Amino acid sequence: MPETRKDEIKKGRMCLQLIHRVQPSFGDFSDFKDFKAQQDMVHKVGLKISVMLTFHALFNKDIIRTLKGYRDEFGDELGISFHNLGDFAGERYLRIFNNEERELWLYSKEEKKKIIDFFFARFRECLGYYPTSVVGYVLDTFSLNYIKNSYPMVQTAICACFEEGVRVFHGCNMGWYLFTEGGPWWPWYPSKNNMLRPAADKKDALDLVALPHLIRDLALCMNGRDDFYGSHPHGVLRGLAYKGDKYPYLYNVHDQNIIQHKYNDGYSYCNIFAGPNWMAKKTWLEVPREIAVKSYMDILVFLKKRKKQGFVEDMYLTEFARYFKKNIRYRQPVAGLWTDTLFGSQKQLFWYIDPYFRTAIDMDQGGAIVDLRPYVGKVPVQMGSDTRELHDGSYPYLIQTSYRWAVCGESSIYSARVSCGGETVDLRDYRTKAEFTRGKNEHVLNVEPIEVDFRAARVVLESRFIFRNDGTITVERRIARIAGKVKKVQVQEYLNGCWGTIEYPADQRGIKLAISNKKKTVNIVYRYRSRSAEIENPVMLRATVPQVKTEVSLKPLNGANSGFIKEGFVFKPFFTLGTNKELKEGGIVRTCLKLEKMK
Amino acid sequence: MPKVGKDEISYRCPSCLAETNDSVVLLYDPKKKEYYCTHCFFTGDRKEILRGYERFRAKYKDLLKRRRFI
Repeated sequence: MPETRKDEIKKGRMCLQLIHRVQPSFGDFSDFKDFKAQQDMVHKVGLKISVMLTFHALFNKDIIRTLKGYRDEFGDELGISFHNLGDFAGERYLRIFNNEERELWLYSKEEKKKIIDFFFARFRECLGYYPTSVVGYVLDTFSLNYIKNSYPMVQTAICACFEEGVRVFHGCNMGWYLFTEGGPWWPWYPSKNNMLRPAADKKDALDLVALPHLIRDLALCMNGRDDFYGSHPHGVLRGLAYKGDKYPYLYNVHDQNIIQHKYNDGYSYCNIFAGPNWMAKKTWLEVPREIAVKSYMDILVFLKKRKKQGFVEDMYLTEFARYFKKNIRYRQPVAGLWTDTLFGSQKQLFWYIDPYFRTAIDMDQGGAIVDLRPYVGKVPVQMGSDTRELHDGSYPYLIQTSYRWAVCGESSIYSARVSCGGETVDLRDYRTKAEFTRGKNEHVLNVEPIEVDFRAARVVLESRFIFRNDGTITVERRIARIAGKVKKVQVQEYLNGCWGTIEYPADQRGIKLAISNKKKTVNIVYRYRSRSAEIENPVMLRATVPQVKTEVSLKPLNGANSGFIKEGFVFKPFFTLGTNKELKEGGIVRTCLKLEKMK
Repeated sequence: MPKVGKDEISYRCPSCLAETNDSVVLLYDPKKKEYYCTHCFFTGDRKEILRGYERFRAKYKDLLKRRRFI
């Protein structure tokens, strides 16, 4: 792992938000003592806390009185929580709304309006004003628009769980209907037509700051459920990433998140948000209560220590929204470079997001693009019982290595193959590491050189990924050295793409593949017939994917000997764009991967 | 809440957990004095459950390793 220089560390700070949900204890809707215990801990440590009122809290005079006391004595911000509705909210709720649906994002539009209006009216009745912050595990696009248009004082909302979807659904016994994969891991300006997509500009944006629910370990979130591995002690305990009363991994997550400011102009972000029941007397976890309570106190004390050291600034929800609007521009990219600190793999994963796309690059696969979400297509996604998508609010992908494999051993991915003396290897089969440098207009991921021992020669290949916040990734491969009897290699850049939102394949029919050189263009319309076309000296390779309103293209920037397009088949449901270029020692191949809105 | 045994702790099924499904709570059979899972074939006493948790933890090779980022 690269060393972090002390002067680099001191330049940045992490904005921290602690959020409690005012939720009664299990089995007694009028008992808030576990919530109060949680509050006492934060107040004792002396960190800012935002408190979100549930349906139960809005009908409990005692807790309202207590909350007013917290607000007046400690300055706690009060807002609304839309989590745990339906039967979980009790008989009074069911009498009013006559629907057992558990979460706001799954109701119909008319029901959402009714519930939102009711909560806001009740909040005002209890507190005398409207809140400026609201939270859910998800606040879907319609609800968020309705809240902002009806209650313009709202400045911020927790509205998605980063990379929760397929894996967490399986991890919760196929019973957790929360699908918001493909979104940002840190705060963003949500767009009006899809809250999960960072807005391209002010006109595209809903005028509030969207927040993720918790911070997730960006090294571990791609290959398994990520709710075990994040900023909240409950998740870490749930994932058994502790031994006795020791949980160094929890501190590793927070410290690694803090130093992400190195890649983000000095800015980093974290929140811890949960109800009190995970550390109540009776929980559904087998973790001893004293360990749960201790873990929360320990992380609060730890964050307070980091605050004293100048690495952390705690903020209320609305205070942070103002900070964000003042300091973070529309279109400002966010990057993350994380290393596994739990499994012992040291695996590194790089993440990058801007209004054009989100991508992830896996250094355990030679620096291959393993996830690509084409925001430039501006795909609208709705959720709820009256929508086509129902529960699936994930932003579609164009590359997703974990979800799309074929038995031939190929998967959806962007990688390169190198051939020398009749042998071919794929860079994805090699481990490496990377460093990221953020520039003014150009941000570069430098992948450490990969050495390949062919029978005919030893080849050292360097890769660079250049981001310019314009919908492109320029991929550079340089042959740093060839030692052996063969003095040339062939580098094949290839993109195996497909669209989808979940692990099961979506219908790829209708995708248009095209390859052209100066003389001709060859087209294939996707019909699962395994057709392909190859031409010499290609200047452009393109896939037009109407399902995600996006064109993805590869452009050889310094020429290619040949290029090809390939249609897949049902047992291999992705398409391929590829180029071949012969290189000598010192030779470079530059390829521009571009995403554009479909014309 | 399902019957969770004498000590009233809800144990998650260690076999399901091994596949990262942690939402299956074991039931208790007082006649056989053992826990069992309705989602898979796990049966066992408390010791076997705890052994299953330890096997799950074994994949965390850096479980007790504090990294110095700062």
